[in-house]
Amino acid sequence: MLYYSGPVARLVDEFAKLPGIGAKTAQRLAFHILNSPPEAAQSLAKALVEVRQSIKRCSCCCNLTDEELCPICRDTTRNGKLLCIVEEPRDVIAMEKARGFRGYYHVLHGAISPMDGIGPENLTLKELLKRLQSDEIEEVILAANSDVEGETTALYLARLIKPLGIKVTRIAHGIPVGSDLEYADAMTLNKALEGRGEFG
Amino acid sequence: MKLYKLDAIILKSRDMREADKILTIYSIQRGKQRVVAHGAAKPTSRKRGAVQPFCYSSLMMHQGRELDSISQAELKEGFADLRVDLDRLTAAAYLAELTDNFVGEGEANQELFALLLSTLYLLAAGDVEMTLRAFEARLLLLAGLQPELNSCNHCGVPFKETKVWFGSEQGALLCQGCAAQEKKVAAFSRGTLEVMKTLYRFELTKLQQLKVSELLRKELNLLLRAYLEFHLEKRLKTIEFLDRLNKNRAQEGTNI
Repeated sequence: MLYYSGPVARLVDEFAKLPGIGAKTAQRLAFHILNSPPEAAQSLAKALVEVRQSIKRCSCCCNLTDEELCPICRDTTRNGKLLCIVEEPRDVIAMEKARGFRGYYHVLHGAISPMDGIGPENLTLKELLKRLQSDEIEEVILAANSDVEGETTALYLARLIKPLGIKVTRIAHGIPVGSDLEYADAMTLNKALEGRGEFG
Repeated sequence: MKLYKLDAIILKSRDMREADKILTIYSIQRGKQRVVAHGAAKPTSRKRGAVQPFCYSSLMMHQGRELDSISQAELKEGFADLRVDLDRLTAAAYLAELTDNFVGEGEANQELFALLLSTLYLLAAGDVEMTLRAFEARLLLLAGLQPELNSCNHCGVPFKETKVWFGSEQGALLCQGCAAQEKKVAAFSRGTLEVMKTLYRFELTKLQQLKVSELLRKELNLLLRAYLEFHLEKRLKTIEFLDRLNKNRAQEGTNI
C-alpha cells in the first residue's frame, strides 16, 4: 500500500540510502523539508548538485577541492621537504586542526586490504610516485591508521619508497592525552615505551 | 542478561556505524562466531587493543538478540612482530581469510584452535612460506579432507612414476594413465608429495629444520592451493596480494 504520494516516497527512499539513516529518520527528514520554506529546499538541492559537480581531486595531492590545486598545495609557505601520507581527506582535516604539521599532504583514498581485494592499484600511488620523483621531498611521513589495513599500507609504502633514497617515517603510537595508564592496552603501552623521548 | 567467557583469536574486523566493529572470531569454546565490539573504534575504548585482527584475547561476552557483544576484553598475545613485517602481516591475513572461509559458524574444534594459535606464533617468528603450507595441509586433515598421496585416486594403483597429476575436476591426484583421460590436469613431482607427507609428520615447532628447495616450495604451494580451491570452490582474495609480494621477493631489489 502506498502511504505517501510519489515525490515524497522518492525523497524518503533517497534519504534512507544515506549512511546511518533508517526508514523512520528518512521519513522525519522528508517531512521536515516539506514543512520548511521552499527556499530551504532549493538551497539544499543546489548545495547537493554543486558539491557533486564542482568537487574533484587536487591534481597534486588528490585531496578533495573545487579548483585545480587545493589551498594546501597552493600555499608556498609550507615546508616542501615534508610529505605526509594519509588515507582519507578527513585525515587531512584532523591533521590541519591539530596545527602541528606544516608540510604537504598526499591522500591515498583508502588503505590496502588484501582480505577485501583492495590492492595498491586502488590507491593514488601513481600520483604519489610521480610526485616523489619530481618534487624535492626529503621525508615521507606515513600517517595511515594504526589498524591492520593501515599498517599493511604503511609497510607496503615503506618498501616502495625507501629504494628511492627518501627518508620514511611512521607516526608514533602512544597513550592518548588525558587517559589512564591502567586502561592502556599492552600493545599501545609497549609501543609508547619503544618510542619514548628524553624529557625535562 | 547472560554472560559467558571466550578465549578467541580475532580473524576479521568490519566497521559498523560510527564507532562499532563487527568481528569474526574463532574461539576454543564455540568455534567461529560473529560478534559486536561496541565503541571499539574510539580512542578511549578500553577493549580496542584486544579486539584487533590476529590478537589472541580473553573475552567476556554478553548475549544479544542477534549478535553477542563483547563487554570486556583482555589481550593475551598481540603478535607485535607480525605487525611490523609486510610479508608476515599479509600471511596472517591469508590465514584468517582461509580459516573464515573453511569453517562454518558454531563448530568448535580445539585442535583447529591450537593449530591456528601455533601458526600465528610461527608466522611472527619463523619461515612464513612453510608455516602457511603446514597450516593448509593440516587444515585439510582437520576438516576430514586429507589428500591421498600414495596411490592414484581413480584406479588405486600406487604411484611409481616421477610425476603425478592433479585432476581439477576430481580434486585429487592421478597416475599417468588416468590423467590422460582427464581434461584439466596439472603435473607435480613426487618430491612435492614427499614434502607434503613430511608436513603431516613433522611437529610444527620443528618446521624450521625442514630444508625445501625453491622449486618444491613453488609446487607445494600450487598443489595445496589446487586442493583448497577445489573444496572452497573459489579463490581467496588475499592470494593475489600474497603472490605479488612473493613475485617481488623473487626479483629481489626491484620496486613493487
